[in-house]
Amino acid sequence: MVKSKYLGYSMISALALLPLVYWLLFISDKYSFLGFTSIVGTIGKLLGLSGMILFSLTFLLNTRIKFIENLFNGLDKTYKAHHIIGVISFLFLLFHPLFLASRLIMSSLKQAFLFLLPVPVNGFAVNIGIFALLFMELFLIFTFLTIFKYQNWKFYHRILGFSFILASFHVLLIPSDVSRDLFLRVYFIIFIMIGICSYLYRTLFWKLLIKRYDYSLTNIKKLTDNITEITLKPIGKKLSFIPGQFVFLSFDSEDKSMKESHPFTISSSSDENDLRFSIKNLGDYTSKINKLKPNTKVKVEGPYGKFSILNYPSKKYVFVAGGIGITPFLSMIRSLNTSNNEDFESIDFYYCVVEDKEAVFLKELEEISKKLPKTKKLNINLFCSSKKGFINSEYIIKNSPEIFNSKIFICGPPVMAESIKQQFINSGIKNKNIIVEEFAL
Amino acid sequence: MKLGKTLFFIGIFISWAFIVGLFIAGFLIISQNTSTSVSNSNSNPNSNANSQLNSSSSSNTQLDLTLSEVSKHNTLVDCWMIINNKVYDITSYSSSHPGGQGTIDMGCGKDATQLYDTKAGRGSPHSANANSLLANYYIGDLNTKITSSQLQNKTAAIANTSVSQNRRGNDYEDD
Repeated sequence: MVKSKYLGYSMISALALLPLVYWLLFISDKYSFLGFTSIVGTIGKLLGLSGMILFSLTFLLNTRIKFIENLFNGLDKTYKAHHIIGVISFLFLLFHPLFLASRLIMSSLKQAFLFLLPVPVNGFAVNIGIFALLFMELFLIFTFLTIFKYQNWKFYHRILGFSFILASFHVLLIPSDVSRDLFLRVYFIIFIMIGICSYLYRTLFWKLLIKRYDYSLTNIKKLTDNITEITLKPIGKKLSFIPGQFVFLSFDSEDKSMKESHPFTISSSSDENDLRFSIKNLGDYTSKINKLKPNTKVKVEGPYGKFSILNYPSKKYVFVAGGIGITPFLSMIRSLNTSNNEDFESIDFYYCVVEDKEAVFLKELEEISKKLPKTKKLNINLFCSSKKGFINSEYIIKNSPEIFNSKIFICGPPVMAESIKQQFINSGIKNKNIIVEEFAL
Repeated sequence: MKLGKTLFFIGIFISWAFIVGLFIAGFLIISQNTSTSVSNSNSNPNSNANSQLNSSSSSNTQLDLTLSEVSKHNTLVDCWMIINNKVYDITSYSSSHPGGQGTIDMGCGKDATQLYDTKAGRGSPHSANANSLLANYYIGDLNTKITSSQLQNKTAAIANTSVSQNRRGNDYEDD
């Protein structure tokens, strides 16, 4: 069963705010907020405390541990949280020295300026913090500019762990409330350990500890110009998943870049022996899928994700698929006849494509719809944006008046998914009934 | 994702604008300071704003920098301190102190060496940065004599190092 949408975020906020509350209750005094200098100093200090906790949790969110995935309702959303928390922590840490320098402006601009530079007069503990931040800026710029290929991008992003280690030294060595107060010291040591362990787990031990399934590539079929279906056959134990989930695939191909693991949603039914994936040619990696040879060994890691009707029991569902976002729905619909979906009565499926000819799965879906028992209904609604413009909530609500009692699943290009979700919320549909697959991992 | 990226670059921009801004402002203040100090040296030292401090004494009266003299300056608005046998006038600095005005208050008019070395009992010494900052507020060694004109010059110099601070101080009064 799925937890509240905000459980993970609430927990993270609580963990990041706890040292602030503690500081305000037990450490601050009447001088902490007396005058401009004290206030900017206090803000700078608190940004440092919270920023460091969030920095540590950013690493935890990257571990793919089941417990964390459950808190955020799926790995896709955990990664989204990793991005959000990462950016917030970066901004906090970036402004931490600026506020601390601001309190020196009053006495000496030169001192304030030098305080922000790694000069000897600042002392080792301050300078190590400055270097941590400079590294963080540098490698995040590399990451965000995406001027590098995926592999290099990953390398630069991983170096951020080094920045965290420097920042940890800064926290532990600098004379501050953390060094003076036992509770804060223990609290920060715990989070530094969490950050470093998560980082080491993900970069070093993860490959040894994580379970990966061995599969073999049996079939590569071109469905359209840019959609390819691949079929994988288990060599050893079969991976079990619920329809709608995704896995990470890495191909043991001559082309080394295919060994990187990338996420793909399973499009076959959970009852089939083989795994099938419908992959759209979207980038470097996916364009090479066509060129793979049969019998290539594949490592399958997972399954991940909560985007499945089995996680959200309801009598009525509305599915909105945009383009290749159909894959989780394919798996769910292909499993309708066989899996435990006793509860549901109807699914209204909006299949959005640009041109009619892209709707390669339409025929198969209609067949399935015909074979369903009389008590269950699958209404397929093809929507072509080249004819009717972008799909909107008004159209869906008109065609599915029961939508207010339904669970709504949306998967598609991020802009489309977010836009539809927002339109539904504006039409008075409850946020908790809208489930979006966060496509961009 | 997009928002995160935007925020990230805005953050980077603000932070570097801040640092560059400090650098430029520092240059402007320094050039302004040189011009003020030139005009100060041209004019009669008696016209110095700080002469009010010692209005009772004539320009060549000797003042003993003893503990009892220091103890007269024991408030945040007139704060002298002894640190390592040197006397400092840190009145103009107190509001900028990272540890808060409260910890400055504890040392006004006293031998604050121990307070300074332990950061008011918290155990750690001040940084090299703090030491160099402190040097700006030096008046003279403990138990030496200083003429009131020397004192005036020193306090004028202190006022100049913290000219930006004084300006802020005036802003506060206007508020």
